[in-house]
Amino acid sequence: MRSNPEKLKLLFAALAVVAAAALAYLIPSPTVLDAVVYFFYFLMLAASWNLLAGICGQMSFAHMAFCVTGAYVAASTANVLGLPMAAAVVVGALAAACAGLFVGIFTLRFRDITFSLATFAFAGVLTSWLIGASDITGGSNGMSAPPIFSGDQARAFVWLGLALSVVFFALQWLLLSSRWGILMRAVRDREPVARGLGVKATHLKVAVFAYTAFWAGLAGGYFAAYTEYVTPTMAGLENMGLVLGMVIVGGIGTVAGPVLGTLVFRFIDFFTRGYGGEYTVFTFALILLVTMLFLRDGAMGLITATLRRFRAPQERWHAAQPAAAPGATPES
Amino acid sequence: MITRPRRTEAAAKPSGRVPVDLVATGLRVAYERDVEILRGVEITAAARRISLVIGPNGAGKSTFLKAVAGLAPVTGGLVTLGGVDITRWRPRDLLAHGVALVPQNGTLFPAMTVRENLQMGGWLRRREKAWLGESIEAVVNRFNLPRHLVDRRAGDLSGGQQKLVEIMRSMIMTPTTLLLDEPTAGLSPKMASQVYEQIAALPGDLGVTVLLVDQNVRSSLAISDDVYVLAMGLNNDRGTARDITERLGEITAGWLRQGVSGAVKS
Ligand SMILES: Nc1ncnc2c1ncn2[C@@H]1O[C@H](COP(=O)(O)OP(=O)(O)OP(=O)(O)O)[C@@H](O)[C@H]1O
Ligand SMILES: [Mg+2]
Repeated sequence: MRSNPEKLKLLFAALAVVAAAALAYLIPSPTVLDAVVYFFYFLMLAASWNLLAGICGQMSFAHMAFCVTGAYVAASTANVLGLPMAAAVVVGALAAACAGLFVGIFTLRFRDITFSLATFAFAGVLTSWLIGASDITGGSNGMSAPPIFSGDQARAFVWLGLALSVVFFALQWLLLSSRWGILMRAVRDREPVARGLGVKATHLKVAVFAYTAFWAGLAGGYFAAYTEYVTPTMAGLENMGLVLGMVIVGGIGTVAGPVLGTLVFRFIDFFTRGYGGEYTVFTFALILLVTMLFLRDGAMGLITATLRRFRAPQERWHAAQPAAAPGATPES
Repeated sequence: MITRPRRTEAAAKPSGRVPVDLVATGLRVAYERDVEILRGVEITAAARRISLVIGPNGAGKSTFLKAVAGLAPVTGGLVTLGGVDITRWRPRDLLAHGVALVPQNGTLFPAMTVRENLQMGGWLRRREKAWLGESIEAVVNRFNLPRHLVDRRAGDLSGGQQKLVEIMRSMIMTPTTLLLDEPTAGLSPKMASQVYEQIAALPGDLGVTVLLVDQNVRSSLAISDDVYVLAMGLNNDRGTARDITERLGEITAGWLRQGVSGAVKS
């Protein structure tokens, strides 16, 4: 009952990614290319936040802070040290990972809502610093960044985004099919029990925190190189909320969920673009509300349920085995 | 706070796995300052026997098991295993040393399969893949778990099956001492008897020392050897299972009186 819908969902997500890239290939108008680059940017953010929050259970609000760390470090190393932007983006991502390690160690004694609040506070402090320290960061005006590619930027960024996303999902697949996959879900669902069985939960949480911060930083550098500009608004709560919303709309804790959620958001953004940003956020917030009210597992949950309905009777094992039907499943 | 000895290195080597007595002497526990939940408990779980701890609600039975398992703050007294002081050891060190706890409330990972849950039970020896595979196989056979359930989501099993899987998971590391907290709470009589049957066979077949806490007094007495009665954090009575069975009416009547006085006191 697990494997087939699982594969179908993955296929679906892979198709969505390929379709986005194909769209850019077939209709290379600037608006389409731009939308596809934004898609990959948000996909990296949503997918890595989903790994941290949905699979490892760490509801962090600092993801955009790591993203902006990556962006600023990339821009400033390229500007100041004269590093090629591609290398600077990697340096930025590594800096974000270090920041993730630091914040992770600092917040490891917190659980649940206090953890979220601590990461939230960190994001706030960083944003204020970026605005305040204008002699270093350019304040609210931000900082310019050199381009990575010469010539046809947008199209190259589509391929780069595709490649990075494929690498992310390939690595995630390796991670989830290794012992780490079991471990992350164990810590998410019952951390005390996992500790009792000998798992070093804090090591795991800090490692996942740093790893996902790396990807957030990489996404930030990618975006900075594309727009050739970084501003503190990237780290704003609105962007964090959007990433969170994409994951929830798509289906938190699933592999394909972030892909769908990002896709939904990009479509809305694409068609409401002419009317100003508020409409995008408004429509998306509406969808988010509906999802939370009626589809607790997001779009992925809806798809799974539909698939299950089509391939029902023989799959329902308790029909054949009334004595072993699912009983009370205590949730702590 | 007394410093907690680090025993990982010594504990990592399975200590020959000879069943030994687990002895608690004068054990005191306080979750908060000046509120002692256990006030000097004396309990011996003799090797290869089933020792039962009964008592009214709130007597401190679960607290006692948690204290032995390194999960409750011990403020005084000693716990020894075969003469080795294991008081305040970390849970993972105790596990490596052969002491496993199955807590009162559900502790399975509901989203994982039964097999993955069992693998988590062998986490400390995860690198020995062949050993882990064999151990899981042996436990599945031993507890007669239907094959088709092994790759099912643990959360989808019935309550009784879940409890059995929890006990199975604690057996993966081949413990010498198993601490069980109300293993049949909330189960139908039929499932409860299935669970009791498995517990009853552990000392004889695998040489496991069982320390059992149970509210299901009549059924658990039937499989036990030694019985301890706790009330308000103190030993109240003790005896062989037969002895306690005969005096059971008198003992439980005493719980009612104590319940009233306890309420007045607090
Ligand atoms: N974590 C805790 N913090 C503070 N007090 C606690 C904690 N756990 C238990 N207690 C208190 O310790 C006392 C004994 O609780 P315990 O769970 O050991 O009782 P029990 O004998 O297992 O009862 P039951 O039969 O209902 O399971 C209770 O008064 C309870 O309120
Ligand atoms: Mg209890």
